[in-house]
Amino acid sequence: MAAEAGLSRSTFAKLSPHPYLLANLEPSSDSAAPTRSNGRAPFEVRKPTVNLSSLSHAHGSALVRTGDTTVICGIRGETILTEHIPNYRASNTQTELSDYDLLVPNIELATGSAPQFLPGGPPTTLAQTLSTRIYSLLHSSKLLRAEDLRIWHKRAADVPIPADGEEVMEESDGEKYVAAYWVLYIDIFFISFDGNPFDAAWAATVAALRDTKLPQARYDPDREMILCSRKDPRPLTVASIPIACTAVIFTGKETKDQAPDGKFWLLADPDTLEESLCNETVTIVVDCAGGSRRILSISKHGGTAMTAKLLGSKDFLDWASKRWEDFASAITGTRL
Amino acid sequence: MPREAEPSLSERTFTLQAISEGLRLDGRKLDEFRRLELSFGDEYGVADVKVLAKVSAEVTVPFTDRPFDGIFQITSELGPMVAPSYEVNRPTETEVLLARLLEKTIRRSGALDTESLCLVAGQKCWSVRVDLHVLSADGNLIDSACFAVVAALRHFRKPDTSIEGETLTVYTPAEREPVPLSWLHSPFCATFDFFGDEGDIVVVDTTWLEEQLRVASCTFSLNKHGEICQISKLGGRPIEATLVIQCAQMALAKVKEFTDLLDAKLAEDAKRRDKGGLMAELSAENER
Amino acid sequence: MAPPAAELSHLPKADGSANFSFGGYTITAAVNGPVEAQRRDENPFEALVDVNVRPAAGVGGTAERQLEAILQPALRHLIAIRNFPRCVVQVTLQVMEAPENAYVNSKVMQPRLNLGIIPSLLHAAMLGLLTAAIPLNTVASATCLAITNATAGTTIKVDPSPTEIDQATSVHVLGFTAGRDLLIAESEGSFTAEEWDRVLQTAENVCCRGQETGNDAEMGGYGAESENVLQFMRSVLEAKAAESLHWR
Repeated sequence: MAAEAGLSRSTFAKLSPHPYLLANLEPSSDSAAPTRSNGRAPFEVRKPTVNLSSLSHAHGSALVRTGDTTVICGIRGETILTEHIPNYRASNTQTELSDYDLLVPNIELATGSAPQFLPGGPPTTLAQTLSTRIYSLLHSSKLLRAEDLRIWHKRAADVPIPADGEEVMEESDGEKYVAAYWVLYIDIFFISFDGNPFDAAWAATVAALRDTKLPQARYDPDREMILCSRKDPRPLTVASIPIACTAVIFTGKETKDQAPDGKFWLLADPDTLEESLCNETVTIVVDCAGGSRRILSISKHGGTAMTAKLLGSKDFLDWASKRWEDFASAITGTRL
Repeated sequence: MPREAEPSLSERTFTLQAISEGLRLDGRKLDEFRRLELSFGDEYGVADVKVLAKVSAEVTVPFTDRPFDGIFQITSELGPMVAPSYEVNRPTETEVLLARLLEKTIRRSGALDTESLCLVAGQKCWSVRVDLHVLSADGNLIDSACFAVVAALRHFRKPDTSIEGETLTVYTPAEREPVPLSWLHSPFCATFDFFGDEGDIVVVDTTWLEEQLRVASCTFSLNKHGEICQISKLGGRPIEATLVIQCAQMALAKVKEFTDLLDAKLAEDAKRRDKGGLMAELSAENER
Repeated sequence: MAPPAAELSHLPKADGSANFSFGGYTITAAVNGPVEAQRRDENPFEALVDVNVRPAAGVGGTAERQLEAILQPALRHLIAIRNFPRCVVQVTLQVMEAPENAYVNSKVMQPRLNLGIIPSLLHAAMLGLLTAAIPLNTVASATCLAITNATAGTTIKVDPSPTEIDQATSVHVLGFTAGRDLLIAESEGSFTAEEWDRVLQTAENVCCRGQETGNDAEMGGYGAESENVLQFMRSVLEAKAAESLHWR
């Protein structure tokens, strides 16, 4: 019909994106398999590629690319003396990461990464929600250990050192305390944006954290500052590799009302066009390291097509596990 | 966004005619205030007079040019909750005026001793912040806003602290009973609106309709000792100086009334919290 | 825990308003609409839904934007937006009080998403929309659950306190429509697929309990003595309607 009206494929897509995607998913001939307008099968994801340590001046960095969505994440550690932390309390060993703001993620949707991002102006709502989601997941997933960020110092013993006292003596005395912390500035920068920003941004964050090596640091009580040495930097302990998997739900109706037959398609790893046509999204964060599957976060909103039953179904969780394998092998560079 | 409807011609003539005859639409006398209702939240530092004032405090680094002072700020916001014509993040003139008056009345008059907020000179201090949320406005916003802010600040308790040598400890409410702010005096605002061709009819606590029709207005901020913190008459028709002095007298009487009301409410609230007189015992125990 | 409390139409200027308090949270919702949308963002086919969450202390930050991003699609799904093209429905949610954890000195700016507040925000918004007489497709309610790992196995706590949320291994917020469809799901922490199944079931019981007649018996356990939020909303609205029609 489109050909009769003299409409090219791209014109049809531009004029009425919704019927266009529907026509692709519901082909008129039985011989054609339902595909999305980007040529993928409904459950097919874009293959991720990860490139580590691409930034030379950051302590850790990773570039993640899935299709046309490209994100680079750079991590830079800065030290802060405990006496400069206003609400510092030595007895706190549980909630240091969140209380002292030791993890500072920031997201930038760069101008030119997609036509909708304009130069100037405050951060968009999308950038703000993304940064909250990254921040919340960083803390709730307990990805990092506070111990890696502590910089210890041994207070010199109060007793005067005897004349023949060796250095060993001096070191064994005195009480050990946390003199400073590393603060990790996690900057996530979108080079190119084509849907599904959270999955890519989160994968970049995890990959960059695994890549991060902090310099050896010690406190100098005379100068009251932290000194770092370039020699053998210490990597962070990132035990797990949580991976986010996002899908959108396409109901085939331009209105938000569900089709009477309740038919819908779950489109995994959506691109910008698909995101703009669907109201309902679901994101699941899983970690399958060590063979057991843990769910770290589930977030679903915008509609009711995705039922509770489907959300807990084996198919859905297995799909997430499959995607975890793809991403994890891309991040670690090995076949799991 | 939709604009606020202006009063129609007949509303205007009717209201003005009534006022010149000494009558008001809601049946009040010209110098009669609406009944002021005040309630405190379960937390300390929440007062609600259809404006909500919430006080919060946290430890921060003081400004480098004032190392011995804590930080004290008042922010106010009128959102779409009041009327759809108010937009988020776009302050209107009313909002700016309100913020400035509160700043002058409470902050610049030294009602809160900012030096007492300093913990470690140049390094750590309390930052006390009052957030004023206007829930609905029907005229005379300034008086009620000021009342709410003062009430919330006097009701507020900040966490207790102690300093041993160089280390500062901020105790959680479970460890030590929080302590009140060091409050020096309670200034209140009283606003007078002027009507009539000569501007010689004085009306207090105007409604939104009356406020739109006034020819001039004047706000006094003073405490119960009669010490005036600020007077602002922002343009409008010229007013006789003697009239302003009369207004100041009326303002003093009103402010004394406000002070008594607040004291009574605070005492009532303290009693409600102090079940079985345990509070004194608790704080004494923590005094060690 | 104290039963929920609500006050309806208490703000004279807004089209609809409600005050909802439960579990230490007090939220005031003001709804204006449908009003004309601004030219630059109007939609020729449906009404926009504008959700604005304002914290009690401090200015709204990224966490409030995230709350808005969760609530806005949910409300958009509930409101009959096709009835009001080129209009906007403004929902302002003001946090009046939030429960405080006496063991922690909380900071003013909380960049982390607070899951516990979502049910109260949703319920306040629902009551606000209902008092503003905005046509709705259906109503919804939500609940917060926390899984704690004790020595005696995992337990699911409904409507946890902030202390319990801090200690929980995972926290879940689930919202269901009156038709028992899952509308909102937000979880964080670490949990297995089996725990997730249990959470889904528990939440559905909590939100949708007692809607069918004669299933009171099977509802042992999860705080069955209190009425659920949908029933609560219905009863306050009925009381309000009866009061408004008192003159007849």
